[in-house]
Amino acid sequence: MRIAFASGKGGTGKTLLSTSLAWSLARDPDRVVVYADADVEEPNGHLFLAPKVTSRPPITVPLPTPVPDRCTGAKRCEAACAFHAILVVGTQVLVDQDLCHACGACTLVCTDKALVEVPFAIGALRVGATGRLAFVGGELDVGQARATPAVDATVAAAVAHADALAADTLVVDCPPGTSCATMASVRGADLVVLVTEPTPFGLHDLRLAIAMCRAMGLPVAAVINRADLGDGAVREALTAEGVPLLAELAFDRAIATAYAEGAVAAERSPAVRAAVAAIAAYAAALDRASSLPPSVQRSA
Amino acid sequence: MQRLAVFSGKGGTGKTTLVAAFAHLSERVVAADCDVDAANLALLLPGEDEPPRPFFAGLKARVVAELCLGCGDCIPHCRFGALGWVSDLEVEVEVDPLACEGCKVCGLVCPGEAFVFEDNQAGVWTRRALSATHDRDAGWLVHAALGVAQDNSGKLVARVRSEADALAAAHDIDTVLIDGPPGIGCAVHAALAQVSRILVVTEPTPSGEHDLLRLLETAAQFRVPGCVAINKFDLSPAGTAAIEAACAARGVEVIGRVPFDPAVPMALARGELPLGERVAPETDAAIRALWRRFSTQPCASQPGALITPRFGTPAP
Amino acid sequence: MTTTRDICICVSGGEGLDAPFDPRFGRAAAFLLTDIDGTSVELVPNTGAEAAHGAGLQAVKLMDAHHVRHVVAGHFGGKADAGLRAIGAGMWLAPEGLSAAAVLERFRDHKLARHDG
Repeated sequence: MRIAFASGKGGTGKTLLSTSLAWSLARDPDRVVVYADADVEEPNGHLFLAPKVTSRPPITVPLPTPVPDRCTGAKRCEAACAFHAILVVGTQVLVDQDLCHACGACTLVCTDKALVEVPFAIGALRVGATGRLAFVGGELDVGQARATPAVDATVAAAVAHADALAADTLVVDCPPGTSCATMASVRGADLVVLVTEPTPFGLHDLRLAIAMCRAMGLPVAAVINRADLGDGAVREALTAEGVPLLAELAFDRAIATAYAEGAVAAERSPAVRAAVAAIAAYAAALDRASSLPPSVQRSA
Repeated sequence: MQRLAVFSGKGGTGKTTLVAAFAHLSERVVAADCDVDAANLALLLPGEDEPPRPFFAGLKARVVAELCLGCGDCIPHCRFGALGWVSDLEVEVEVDPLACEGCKVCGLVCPGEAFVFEDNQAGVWTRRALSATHDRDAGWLVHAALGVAQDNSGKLVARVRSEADALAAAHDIDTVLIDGPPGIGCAVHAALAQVSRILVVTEPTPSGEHDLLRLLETAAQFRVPGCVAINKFDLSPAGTAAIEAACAARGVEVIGRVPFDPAVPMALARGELPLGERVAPETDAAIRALWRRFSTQPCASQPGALITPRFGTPAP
Repeated sequence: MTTTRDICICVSGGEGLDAPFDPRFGRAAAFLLTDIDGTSVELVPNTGAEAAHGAGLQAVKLMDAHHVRHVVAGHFGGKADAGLRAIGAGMWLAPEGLSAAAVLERFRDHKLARHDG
């Protein structure tokens, strides 16, 4: 079962709830749980779960790289690159790594075999564990432009890790928004939990996130954080959209303080434990309702 | 013309709320909402929108059914998994527009020339004449909405910014105020380019501190000077002290601290700005002082000192 | 008559040699192409200045198309450096706050430092 935590708006509590859910489930000795941090631009899960990191493999993309003395200056690669990432000067090929999508067009059209793809590091994974809870997190290097390949690599690594451990649950902490990177993080999830807050910002961005999940055909549910600081418009919108509201968390200085101290919120707050229990119960019911066996990669 | 940009790295620190308040406090401004993935500034800055205009970026492939030979040669060549058979029964390829990145590799390998490439509408943008707050016009807001599943946020940010610059020049407005996107990637780079200085709004949590430092490092690579404000600083005195120490160690100045105030989200829920009688007097004073400082004084930080070697060598 | 406007000074707009020098190569608003005497000048807008990425490479492309031999800026990024090397253009560093005319004068008097990457 793969549960993704997403939100249109940032800072609504995705990491608070996803770390809390993973931490709570992993306390059950019969369960095998993997937590994945796919918010590669701003990864924060490790700050709270404090995993013992056992390896930091690089996240790479294939980068076209010139082979010396092969280019004849035909500029086929420059013409074929839809992203304007290549400039050929004489017989020298310059590749702009920030613009390259690693699509393979340039190597395909070069008849001189003057370009080969070389793995290029754009970030690194954190692989490890917090006690019994397995941890896979992705981190984009500062200065790198394109997050989507790093998200793809992180989710793929987490799914492989979950398969290797025969895990029953994979919890994915996703980047905010509704763009390509967010889509890559929720793709294949059995349930997307949208974390929102009862403000006009929360409502506006929640609508976008629901639209994204619906376009992708993903089951969606919601949690309202800081539910007492705002109005009822978000609740009404969820009812109108037919999105189940699994839990509401009131603003609590104790939760805020625990979070500020880097603690897993579920460790300190009964209200957070109740909220993640409600999410887990809903996910389990959803899992039972489907005829397929539990799997972390059902629709991958 | 000065271009002032507000970022947060981490979402939800109160960046947009502060930008809206700043826009209100400034006499006349062109505000540019560059958080095109989740644009919220328009919710707090009333005015009249011009009709939205389409924004095109990149291409999407489409199969001309009559020309598809059904060989399937293209399918393994697509690195984005955007090609597949229409169904198990039909020998015809189709494109998943949500996955297509418009690289045209399919067109290069297709023996039947069955692919056409169409301009991709990645989003919309519009200009809003802000309602007058004083006795004169209050300025403009340029805002945009990136379509779901789009990968061109940097380009849309660049468009929003050039429209904002053009409005400022045309209406003789000397400040462009940029509401930056979250993260540290492409959209942030587009919002950082050529700004006078940035303010990073953070909060006293481990996430807030971590993301602040990654953002300052990104800004340093673009040689943009920055300063910091800590929102909800009183929720964790220890966290606030840690951020102030981290900033001091990097020569970055903390120019404001805004207290946690439950009246702020309540004002936002009513669609009102967190200023004046609607919030605690300390909140109002802190936001006003922060804007006065950010809008009038250059940052003391030396961005060059922050530069760390870029992780950019090919993996072995 | 062929002119040799083979010196490029990065400027932030304006006309002719009075234009203010802009230290950023890829993101300068425009490029002032001039001969060594400043008698033949041409202003070329930097169409890539506002691009999120790729500004450096696009600017190199412009230099190549205009057969520029020397570029004066305040700073050259890694991509611009590699690109300008590839087209065989010299890179020179000038301080901020000058006019294009003053930058040209210093170039003529051999008072600019060479950028070595």
